[in-house]
Amino acid sequence: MRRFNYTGRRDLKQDAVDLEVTKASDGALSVKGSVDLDAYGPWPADADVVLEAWQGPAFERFSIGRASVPKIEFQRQLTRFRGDQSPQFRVKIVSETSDRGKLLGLCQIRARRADDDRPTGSMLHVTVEPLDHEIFKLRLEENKHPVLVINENLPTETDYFGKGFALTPLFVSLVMPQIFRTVVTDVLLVRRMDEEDESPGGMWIRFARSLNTDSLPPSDDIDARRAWLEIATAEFSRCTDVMTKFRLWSIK
Amino acid sequence: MSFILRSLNEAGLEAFREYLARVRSGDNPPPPRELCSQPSTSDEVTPNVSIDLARTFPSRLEVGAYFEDVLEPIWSQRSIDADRGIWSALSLLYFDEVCPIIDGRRSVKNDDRYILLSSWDRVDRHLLRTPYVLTRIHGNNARIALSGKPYVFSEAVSQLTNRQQILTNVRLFEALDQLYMRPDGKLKRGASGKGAGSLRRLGKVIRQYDLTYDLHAMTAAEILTLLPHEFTAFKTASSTAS
Repeated sequence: MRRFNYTGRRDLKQDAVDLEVTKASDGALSVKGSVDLDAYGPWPADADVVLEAWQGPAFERFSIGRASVPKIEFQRQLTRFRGDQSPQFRVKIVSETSDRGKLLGLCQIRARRADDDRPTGSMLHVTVEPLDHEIFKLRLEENKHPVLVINENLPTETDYFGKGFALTPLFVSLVMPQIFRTVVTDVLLVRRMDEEDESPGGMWIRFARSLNTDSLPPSDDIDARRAWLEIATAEFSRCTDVMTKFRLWSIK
Repeated sequence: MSFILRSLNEAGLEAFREYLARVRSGDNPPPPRELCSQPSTSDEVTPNVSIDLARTFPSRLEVGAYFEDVLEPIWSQRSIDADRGIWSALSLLYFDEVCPIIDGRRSVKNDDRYILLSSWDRVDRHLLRTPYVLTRIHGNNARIALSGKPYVFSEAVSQLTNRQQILTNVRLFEALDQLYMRPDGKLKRGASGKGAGSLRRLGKVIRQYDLTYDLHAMTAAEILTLLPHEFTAFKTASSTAS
């Protein structure tokens, strides 16, 4: 189902783009895949199809073809990324003639890693299971990565079903900050772990430390840890750009 | 005074961090520059890079130009943009430039101004790395973001430098130079303020285009045409000094 908004931009669903990131023996990353625009056309024949990759200070973009080609296949070296990075991707269809530079189509997507079928670098596993009356829930177990469970019985007429639901602007903007807060509350305030811990909980604390570089308060100072966590959550929301994602979802 | 650059290792970074905390608490020992030469706290950098420790920088523009020049032997061979050890060592060696003694004391800001953090979202706060990156990408058009003193972090400029999609957009910076810089190299009046059409406002306006325009695909002239009415005053060439 094509989705339009008042700007005329078409939001491509995840199934329009297939991306796989591969790491070579020397650590260099490359991305290959395909973009299938046929179901979302027609497009101006000369509209440019652009792939952008970014993570942290690294950003790279490529023109991968014209929108006149129903299915574009490509492979590119990611020269600005290290082998241990997990870039995010965007596909843009950009007008080249009238109103040059205008976004005609957009898809935000995570690539598969060739050596792992989970989303790259994920500390949050996503699965689909029957959940009765809940849309989703977060499962927390000691010494395991948290698991986001999506109800397998969600209607399939929209983007909001299956594992892909967790990647939609709606879900990311409304839910992910609270997931972050819940997981880190569990490890910091309930289990009272520290960043040296080797378990998945320690990984989450180190991730939170990368967002709030102030020293972590001692484990017996619950109020200080709670305040520390709020700063980390705010920074997580800023870094995840939830406001833009909310606009992306809400502008229809 | 010539010095062969070495990179701070984890022990050196920790010692630097401790020094910053001491000064922040009111103590005033001299900067421990020996951390940048001791094998226990620093590592060799190859090929050799020779820097002038007596060098001073009147503005961030000179910081960018100098490091683009002296670091050429290494940036042409490997990526140093995210090299924590090198950038933190440079901050320590030029500590009087990034944290000068003013009225008898140093005002030490957050560690991220001096120590390049591994947290990717704060790399633009480093006081020496950002001018270097901007100069490498934009050359003279970087001056819009580099007019201040080396020890001053500008929140307005941060709107441009904390997002890679903006920071790497060559044509956008070309447009900004045309919009905000006078022929004599000074900022137009109001450019650094908070009012309509200012640099601070520009960062927010550009974000709004994320969902409608691909600014990387546009020329400087097309970007300028796109900007809303509040920027009209800056589009004329006759704005006076700030």
